[in-house]
Amino acid sequence: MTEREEEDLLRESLRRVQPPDGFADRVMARLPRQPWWSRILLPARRAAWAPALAILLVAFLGAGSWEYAQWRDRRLRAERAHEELVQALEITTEKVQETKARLFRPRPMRGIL
Amino acid sequence: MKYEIFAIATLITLACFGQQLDLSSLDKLAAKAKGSTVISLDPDKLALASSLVDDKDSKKLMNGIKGISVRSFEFAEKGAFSRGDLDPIRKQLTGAGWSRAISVKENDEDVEIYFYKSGTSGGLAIVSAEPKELTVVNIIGPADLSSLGKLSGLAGLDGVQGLIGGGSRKAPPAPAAPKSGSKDDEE
Repeated sequence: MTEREEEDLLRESLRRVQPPDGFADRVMARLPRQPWWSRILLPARRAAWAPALAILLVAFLGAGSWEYAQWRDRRLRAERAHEELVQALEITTEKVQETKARLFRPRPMRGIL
Repeated sequence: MKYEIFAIATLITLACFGQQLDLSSLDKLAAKAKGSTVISLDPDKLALASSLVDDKDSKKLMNGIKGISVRSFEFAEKGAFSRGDLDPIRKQLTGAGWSRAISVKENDEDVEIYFYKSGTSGGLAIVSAEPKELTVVNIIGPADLSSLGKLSGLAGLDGVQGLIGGGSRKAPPAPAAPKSGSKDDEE
């Protein structure tokens, strides 16, 4: 093969060829489908409001945590107060029972016979 | 004019808190005691405690309670406290509205139960002095003393009803034998 023939063959091989109709659609159809969240998050990453959304989310979580801490603190104080109430009532009941027992205790009969 | 306002405010305060005893004079005994219980439940704490109560009647009853104070000390030896330590408490219990309902004295043991009644407010006080134990209870509540008797039901207890009313339980009948001993008076 002469040098000229080699050049012709190379030019023929590298010639621009138009793809058949529907080639691009068929290639896209064979690609794996993206998960639903990536369709939401990936554009959001580029969006201008993404930082605002992040701040809002952090603020929401912070407020939620604070509210939970308040509720937990209140619950603990309520449990402590309830325990104290029960203890106070136990002591009261115990003392009243003791008094009742002393009041109604049978006593030895004296001076009857 | 200033003094009149101050006097009226003082009178209102005394009327509201007359049944509330100041038990702080007993706090010094905690250092000598081998075990002590100090409970002070104000309306805020009682409201918190009532938030854990589901029963509507109990909740309503608790709303009528304005305060509960308990000082209970257990000592290792006899003579750790004197009768004089109780004088500030007894002095308060001679105030208007208070009346001694029960007093039992046996050997070295002395128990007194007082009731308070004034207008729409009521209260209960228990002073119990034993050789090695001293207990003072003060409950500030509604004028209806029978509701105080239902209090013990809140803690799943049974016992106050029989003595101060509020329940179906009756006190055991008194024995037929003539009483002897050193009981002061009983109602």
